[in-house]
Amino acid sequence: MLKIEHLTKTYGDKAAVEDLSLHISPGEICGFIGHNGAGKTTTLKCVAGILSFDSGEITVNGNSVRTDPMKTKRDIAYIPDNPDLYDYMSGIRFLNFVGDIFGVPADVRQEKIRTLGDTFELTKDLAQPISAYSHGMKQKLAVISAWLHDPKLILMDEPFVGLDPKASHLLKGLMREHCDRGGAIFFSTHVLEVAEKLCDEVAIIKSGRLIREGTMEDVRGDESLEAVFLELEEE
Amino acid sequence: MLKALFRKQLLELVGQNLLYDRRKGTTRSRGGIALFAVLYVFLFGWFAFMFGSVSYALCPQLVGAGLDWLYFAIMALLAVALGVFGSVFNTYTALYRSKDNDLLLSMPIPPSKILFVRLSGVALLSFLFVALVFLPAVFVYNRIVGVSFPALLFQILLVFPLSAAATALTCLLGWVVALVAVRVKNKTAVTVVLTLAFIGVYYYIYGTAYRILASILANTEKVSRAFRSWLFPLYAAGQGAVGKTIYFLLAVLIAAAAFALTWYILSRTYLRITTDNRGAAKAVYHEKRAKVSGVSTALLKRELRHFTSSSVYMLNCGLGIVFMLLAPIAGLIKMGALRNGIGMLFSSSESRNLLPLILCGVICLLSTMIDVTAPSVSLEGRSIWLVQSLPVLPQSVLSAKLRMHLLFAWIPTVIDVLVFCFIAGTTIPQALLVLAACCAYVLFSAEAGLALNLLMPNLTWMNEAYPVKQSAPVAIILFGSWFFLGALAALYFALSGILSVDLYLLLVAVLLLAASLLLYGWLMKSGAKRFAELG
Repeated sequence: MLKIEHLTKTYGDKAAVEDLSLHISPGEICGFIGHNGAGKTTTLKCVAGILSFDSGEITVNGNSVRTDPMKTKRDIAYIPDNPDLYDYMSGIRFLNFVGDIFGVPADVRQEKIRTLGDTFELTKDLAQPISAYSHGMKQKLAVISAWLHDPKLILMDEPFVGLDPKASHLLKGLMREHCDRGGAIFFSTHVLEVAEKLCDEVAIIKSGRLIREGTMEDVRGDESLEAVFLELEEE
Repeated sequence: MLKALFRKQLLELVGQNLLYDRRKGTTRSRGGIALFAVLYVFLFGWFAFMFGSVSYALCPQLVGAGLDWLYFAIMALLAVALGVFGSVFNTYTALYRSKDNDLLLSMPIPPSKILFVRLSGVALLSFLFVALVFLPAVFVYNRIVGVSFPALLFQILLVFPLSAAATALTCLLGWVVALVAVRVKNKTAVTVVLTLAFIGVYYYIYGTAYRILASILANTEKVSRAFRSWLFPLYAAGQGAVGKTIYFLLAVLIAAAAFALTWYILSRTYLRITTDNRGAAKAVYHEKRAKVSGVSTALLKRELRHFTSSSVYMLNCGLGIVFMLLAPIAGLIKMGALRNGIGMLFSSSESRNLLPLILCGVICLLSTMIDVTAPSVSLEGRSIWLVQSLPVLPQSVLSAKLRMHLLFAWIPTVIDVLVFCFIAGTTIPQALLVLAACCAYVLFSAEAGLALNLLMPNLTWMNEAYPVKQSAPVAIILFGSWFFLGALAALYFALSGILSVDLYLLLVAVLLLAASLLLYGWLMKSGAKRFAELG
């Protein structure tokens, strides 16, 4: 589903991501772990087609992000760490805007908005302007918009920040369900317990370089993910 | 604490464009800063020249009548009026709707201090406008009368109390808007209506300015008495400007008291107004069948929603729409008088030939007040990641911005051309030429605004007033348009021996269309690439 080969991205003369390679197959949830400024957001943004990169190749479902960005973006949904949405729209208008861009038919759109809105208890607030939303509500709206067009790959940057425990639980369920239906998820998180329970694969990045990658069992071994992560950070 | 807050405010006002290149994420080079500084000096120079001309018209007559103080009092009145007019549109937003309100209110800073710093931002803008009127007046006076001390020192120092007075007035107006806005549902509509009412009053006074000036010159005795009894602060400023220390000190004291009183009144309600949301009744969602749009329409709707939801954006970049729609109505109502005036002014066949050219110039000049594209990229702000991550081409996003501008500007342009050509009695081919040239100009200015914003974007603003009102692309497109139109007029006179007006209009239309085509090519290639890399 997602193939990152030798990705390098620099800002000026500072390498934010260096020679990073990572593969995620359909049905997999891959957790992306690293300290602040390690290069997680930069990698996610490169995959989402928001940032151009210096070298390497990223393909989503066989299409290159560099040469065919429109095709890859149709297969992707991206939720950033701080969902700055359109404050000048209401929640429902925003969802309809996203639906229009992805060409989601009216009945499908309506059904999804109803189901997901009810799931996250956001339906009654959809007529309100986004400027009146709390951080958590914006996060929920971003999640609904991400699921609206049935993407193959979902990219999420710290998706659980700002969500209440119930919404976090629901989101984890949705993520699992999405992957069970053949989709894939690549998300960054600092909550190692969540990663440990939820992820099939884990990738650890340090100072722009991928230092460990594999199935959760392989990476963790007999230790906890936290212990492995801290050990790697010390090295 | 105040120093840190002032530094933040100054960085917002000046630093965003002048010192920092947001696109590259680096500090601007010295050359870049110098270029920006030269640009602003050039713009201010132009304004100063305009008000210097007014001073030259007024000064000799009043000085001749021994009413030097009245000259300064009138110029002070003009300066305060421009100071208020120049900053009133964004005062409400700047004082009460900044994005860092929550952050600052959560810190151990008294709300009165936050307000004081916000006021300083408004004051800086007022200072610029006041200085643009008053300093040229001082220059003209000293050229005509000769330099004397301490009068010159007082004259220069008067800029500060006048700015304080303008700030106090504009903030009180902003406060009234805020008090009303906090109680109603549709804040944007209220702000727009109140501001339009204010503009209406302003333009009524502006429209009768010549009559007022003539009446001032004819009734200097009465006017002097009126200033002394009804406009005492300005009387004191006028007397202070001619070197009377006691009056100068009185003017400073009155302005300081007005500023302090304003700050006191506003600080009593600041926290409540900033955090109150009484009017915003919770809208409940009722499921309706979704209206499905194509990508292109969805992007255009997005732009329209942004425009109509922001009073700052509408008032600063779309005011021309109102003027351009009101102008033909006023023209038709006053058709008889207009036709008489045209008949008198353009009595010879030679001057009558110029009529289409002048019509074209005036309509283009009106259209420069619609500069919707110039801040449109910056207004994407921190949510730019959205369109960048969605499967839409940057070309489509830019094209939606252009289409919105053209939708707003082309319709009134066509109406204006048709009505005014009818009133002026031009031939149909001439009217068509005027229409072609005006529409080509509108297209070119829409593209130029968008290109400038792509070259000088600012995505990290604290409130929308910064990209809309205080950004280089808006300033360049607004004032640059005047120069551009001036240059086109000058070019006609240079070519008048070779080209007729009709041929010249055709040439202008063709040249502008060709330039627009080239600019469109740049926007769709390099511009789109820049847009994709922003953020």
